[in-house]
Amino acid sequence: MTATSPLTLVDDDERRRVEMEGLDETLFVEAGAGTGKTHELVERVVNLVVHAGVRLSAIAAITFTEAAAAELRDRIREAVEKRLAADPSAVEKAACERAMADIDQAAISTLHGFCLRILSAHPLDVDLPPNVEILDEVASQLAFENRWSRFVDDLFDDPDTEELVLRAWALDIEVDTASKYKASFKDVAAIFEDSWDRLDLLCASVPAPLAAVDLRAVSHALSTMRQAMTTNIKADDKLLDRAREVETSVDEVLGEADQLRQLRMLREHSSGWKSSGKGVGAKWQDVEAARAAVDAVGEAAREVAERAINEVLRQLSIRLARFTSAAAEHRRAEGQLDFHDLLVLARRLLRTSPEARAALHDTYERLLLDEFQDTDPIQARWRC
Amino acid sequence: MVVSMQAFGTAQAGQPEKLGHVEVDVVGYGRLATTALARRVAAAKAAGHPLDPITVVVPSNTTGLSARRLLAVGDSRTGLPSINLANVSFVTPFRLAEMLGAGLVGVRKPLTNPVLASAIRATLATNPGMFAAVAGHQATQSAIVALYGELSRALPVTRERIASASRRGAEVVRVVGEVAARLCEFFDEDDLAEAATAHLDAAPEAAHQLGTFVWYLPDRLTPAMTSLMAAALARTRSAGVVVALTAEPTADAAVVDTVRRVGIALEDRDASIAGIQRPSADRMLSVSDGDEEVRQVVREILQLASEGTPLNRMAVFLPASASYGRTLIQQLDGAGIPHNGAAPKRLAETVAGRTLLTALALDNNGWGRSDVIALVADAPVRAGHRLVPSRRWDTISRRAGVVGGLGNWQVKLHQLEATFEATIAEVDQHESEKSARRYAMALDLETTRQLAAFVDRLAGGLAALDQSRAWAERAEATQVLLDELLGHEQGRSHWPEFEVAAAQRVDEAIAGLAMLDGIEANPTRATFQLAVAAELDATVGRIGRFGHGVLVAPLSSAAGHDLDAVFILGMAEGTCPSIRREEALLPDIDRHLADRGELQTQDDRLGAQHRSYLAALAAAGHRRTLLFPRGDLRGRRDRLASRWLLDSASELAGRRLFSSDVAHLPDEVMHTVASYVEGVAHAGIHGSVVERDVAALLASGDRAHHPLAVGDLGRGFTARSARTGPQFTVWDGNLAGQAGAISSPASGAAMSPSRLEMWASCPFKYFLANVLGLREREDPERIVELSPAERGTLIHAVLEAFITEVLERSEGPPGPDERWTSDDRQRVTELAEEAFVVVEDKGLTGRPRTWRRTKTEVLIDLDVFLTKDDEHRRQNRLRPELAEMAFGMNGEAPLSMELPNGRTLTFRGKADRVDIADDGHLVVLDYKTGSGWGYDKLADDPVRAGTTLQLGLYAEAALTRLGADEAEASYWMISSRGKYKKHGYPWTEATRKRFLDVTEAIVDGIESGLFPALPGEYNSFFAKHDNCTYCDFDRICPRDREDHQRATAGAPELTLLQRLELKEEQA
Repeated sequence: MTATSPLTLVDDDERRRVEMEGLDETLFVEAGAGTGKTHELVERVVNLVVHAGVRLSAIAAITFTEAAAAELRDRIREAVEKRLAADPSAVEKAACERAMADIDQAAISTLHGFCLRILSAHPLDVDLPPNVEILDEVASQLAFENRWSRFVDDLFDDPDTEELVLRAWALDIEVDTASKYKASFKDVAAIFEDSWDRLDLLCASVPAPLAAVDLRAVSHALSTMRQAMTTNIKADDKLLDRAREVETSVDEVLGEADQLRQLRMLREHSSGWKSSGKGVGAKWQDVEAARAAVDAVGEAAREVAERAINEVLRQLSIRLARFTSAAAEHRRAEGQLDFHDLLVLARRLLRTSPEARAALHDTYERLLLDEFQDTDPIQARWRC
Repeated sequence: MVVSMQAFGTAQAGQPEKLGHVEVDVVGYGRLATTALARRVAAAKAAGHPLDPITVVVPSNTTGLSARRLLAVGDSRTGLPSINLANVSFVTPFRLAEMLGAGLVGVRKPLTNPVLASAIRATLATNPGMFAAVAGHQATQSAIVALYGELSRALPVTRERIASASRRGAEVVRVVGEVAARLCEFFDEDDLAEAATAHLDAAPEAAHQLGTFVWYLPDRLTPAMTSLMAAALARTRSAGVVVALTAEPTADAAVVDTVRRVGIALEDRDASIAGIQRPSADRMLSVSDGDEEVRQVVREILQLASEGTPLNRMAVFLPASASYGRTLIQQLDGAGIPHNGAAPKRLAETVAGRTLLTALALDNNGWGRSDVIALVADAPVRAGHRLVPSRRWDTISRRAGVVGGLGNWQVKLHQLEATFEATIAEVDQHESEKSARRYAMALDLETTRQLAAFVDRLAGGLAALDQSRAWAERAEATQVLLDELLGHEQGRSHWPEFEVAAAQRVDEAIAGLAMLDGIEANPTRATFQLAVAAELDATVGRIGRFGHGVLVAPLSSAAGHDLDAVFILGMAEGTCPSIRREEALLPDIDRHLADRGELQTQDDRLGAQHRSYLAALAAAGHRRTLLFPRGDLRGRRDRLASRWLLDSASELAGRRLFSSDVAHLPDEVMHTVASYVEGVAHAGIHGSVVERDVAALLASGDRAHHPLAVGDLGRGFTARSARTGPQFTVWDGNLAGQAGAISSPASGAAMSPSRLEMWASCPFKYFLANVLGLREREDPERIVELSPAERGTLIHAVLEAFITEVLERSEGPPGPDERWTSDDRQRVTELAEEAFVVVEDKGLTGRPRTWRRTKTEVLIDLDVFLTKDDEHRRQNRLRPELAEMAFGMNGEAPLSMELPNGRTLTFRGKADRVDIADDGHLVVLDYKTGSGWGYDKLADDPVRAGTTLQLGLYAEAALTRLGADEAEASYWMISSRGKYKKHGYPWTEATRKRFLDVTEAIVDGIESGLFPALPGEYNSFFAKHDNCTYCDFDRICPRDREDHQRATAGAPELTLLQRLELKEEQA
């Protein structure tokens, strides 16, 4: 509440502090939704201009959405106009008139808008073409779909990835989804797109060659299971039937010469290699041990399959990470950026260009942030 | 010359001040300016001979046209007299420079945009400096083109200041300097102006040809042009200036500055413009979004026209960043309102432009199937003398299995051609008369040949472009390519006038590139394409005839118009005024280093925009309407009203208004149209016939029976209403009574069991596939791997051929204890290899890598199958008896079965294999390649509620054919996924009865026209209904299909479906 308000609130002192006091100090305001934070922010901006002699062009006011930024600019304009209409002193009038002249170009925007402003001022320092185009949500999605098609094309055409693609296929890892209703590696691609600046480690990884399928543990578990089956006392038992099914099935896998086929069979059949609580205690010397022996075969097989899946996923991830990073660099070179690119490239600009840092430092004396709670890691770092 | 103005702005009083020989009127825009000009021209006429020359310099050609027309005819309604305009010339400053300076620029050639862009590319290629990473980018080229004019003409001291201010500034100044050095053989508008000025200074009598000189509506000019105007004013014997202001200092600043530079000092500005009121709107409309703005403005235009305002006295002005110019043109055309103005398209978006760019991009895009089809479908592309049948070409390219790449196009089309030729030859051998099928095939063959020839010619055209080196050669090859695609100029005669003109401009743009050889030698293909793209990134020009109908123009061109009604769209913050962005290469911080006015700053641009806006308002003598779009549908956000709109609203409201007030303004200040529906429903006049009809329907209580609700619209209303009700109507799939349109499975030819199975799984699917005959089209280029269906066909083909061969062996098929030999296995592999070639020819294999693996998998599956088959025969004491046992097809008699109701049905089909056991019983096998999911339920219900009829039918057919007593039938899963398992049951009296009961129910259902959709259970994992997950028609079924099913669940007609279910006593 301002001093002219007829109401008196219990936190009037705090509100006054936000609006008027310590205008050259850093201030952190915490308040609930709907309590008037944005109002206080507007008042503080206007007081900075009117009372602290700060040019509006030297203030960066950052908020979370474009609509909020437009509204904030409008509210500041309205507040300044009202001050002008309220018979101010000559000094205040001059400050208000200067603010009205500055307001259109003032840095009142979203964080992405602020990044765009900085990048537009120094494009060549980050190898951006002079005119940057920001892809909206629809255009970004279309561009992503095109990029994804290229990734899949490359993956399927690169002679070095033949084994990788075929293993993915054998292990039922959907690289390119046949149906939008089915999860696939494309979902990973979408996540990578949104955090491409955090892929450096993955990009730098050198993937080990795909290991040969090692079924020794399965073979060993099968031997143990066979041994356990000898503890059967009475042949008419469902656990014994199950063990025989498992034995036949595992033998087929072990006898298969083609590794891809082995993996495929493991993937397809090993989920059924389990005792499922079958077996009557009285028909076994130790039914629990017998069940465990059957289950151990399935577990060993599934472990082999899991290991193979992890290996394939890691290699695909590395390739995708490199592709995603390259695509981001391509967007930079083409000057067609998405929202995340803005944050990353602006950060890169400030890290690498002393000229840009100096310009930013010289231009902005004050930084005000609205909705600080709605930030992701890179935004938070940016704001710090 | 210095003219000091002490008091003016009194044009209304008709007392312009005269100082020296230059008379200056300071007036408002619109009719005030027109009147001042009329008076000045009339005075000049009166002062001398009526045919003495008078030269009026106008800011633009359209302003000149507008003024000339109005002065010539006058306006009797407002007392503006008609003036004799004989020997009165209306010229732009550039034309004035041409008139005076032509022939004075030596042997230099005119500087064009392609030449400038070429010089920039050459400079950046030689010495890119800081631009190294972005030298080849079109945006870099465009940015330097944009600043070149200003910076190359800036004072040396300005350039020095900018160069020393920053590294970027130094680089920009360097590049501009080097480009200028490359262009010393060319002249631009400013060179012409300088030459003209020098000529006037050296030979003042040259100004006499201008006669009385009037500068109408001075605006910002380049320094060279400003000097020319100053010289012309000084050298002519009689001169006048009509200065228009808006009474908004920031908006008028550039005008004041410009006239000051020619020596006219506007002093005591505030007092002097006291007589000019800041223009203001008298009507404001708040609408939901940009599209609604367009619809609303069309209604407003029609309303005014109906009240007597001539269409050519109205204008719609669009801010530069408003993106709905094209929609406006469409709506005006739709309403039959004649219009003229700037075309809302760029050359690249016209038929000729986009065709050329798409063709040039083919090599980069890898000759994608869809890219080539898009090229021919998006324009009247010709193949020889005929228009391309793009839809047929699309179908043929899919059928050929083209997946992309020039070589693939050529190979696949020639393969398809050969297939058609072979099939036609075969048909000709067996058929004496030409059947419809043969005719269709011959047509397809001809189409395939035409498409193949087109692809070859297109490839040839692009190859010729590649083989060219010089600009002139490449330009010529490009023109040949474009003519090949769209025909020569005379072949475009049936095109719309606008497209003909645009195509001509595209031709000119291509020709313009031919002159670049002297500046940039031997461009690469990429550079050439960049230049083409840059040339086509230009506005098309004008549409319509000036003065005919409503003027549709950019807001920036508003100054100088004199109309009755003006509408300004896009009055929201961010659009009007537009968002201001710093220029990257020459930002304001550098521009401020120049002397005032030398380099335009963002404030200057905002001022110019504001001036245009106010001039637009001032242009209307009767109605000034602003439209505010409250929302941005694409951005999905609310918008704020323009502060300039708030100025007008404040005047109407009598108090200062802010954005927060807009939502609560009374109707007399701002009329709010809540939505499209409200706009249509309450419109006094409608923008189109469709709108009028929609309004009538909105007002109707019973829309479905409204006279307008005919055809598809009426059916839509009825469907919507019917589907929510409990009755099982025609809209839910009840075609009872329309049986004539549906062929009964019990009539005519023998029927296939799979069709009946389809009805049992979803009657609506049956309706779409078999009654309407719909099929999903394949995109061959998007196939990743062989489809399950094609894989199944392939395995069937191999095993059919193999078992048939085996049965024909002299020693007969192997017995129960005889294993398949290594030769047998080798033979299966050979047959598979042959089958692979067939699939490859169809183009259905997917990607090469997955196809290689698929082939391996298939070979393994076949090999495992042989091993399993050894076991199968040994355990069950079997030997193969028949392969692909056909009935009702391939010349075999159909299978007849009598239903419980006494009717006899005939079936057709083909069982994959029949084995006979030592004891004489038969085992019928049907190969499947899936997982076998669901077949375990065959044990519960052998026909699975009608969705599995094949096995029983095959068993019955085998018994009939071989005369055995017993039979069993099984699906055999030939895949690792299906674990090579068999799923089946013995064919007994009980299963036979169940089969016949269900079949009878299905036939009854089809014959009674029962086609409800049965989506099944909703599967939260796939986010789909069980029956829809793999259904081709999923996308065309209503989204709320489950609601419809639930709504009609109790309908008596649907009790028939219960006959499919297994009853407890049967189980």
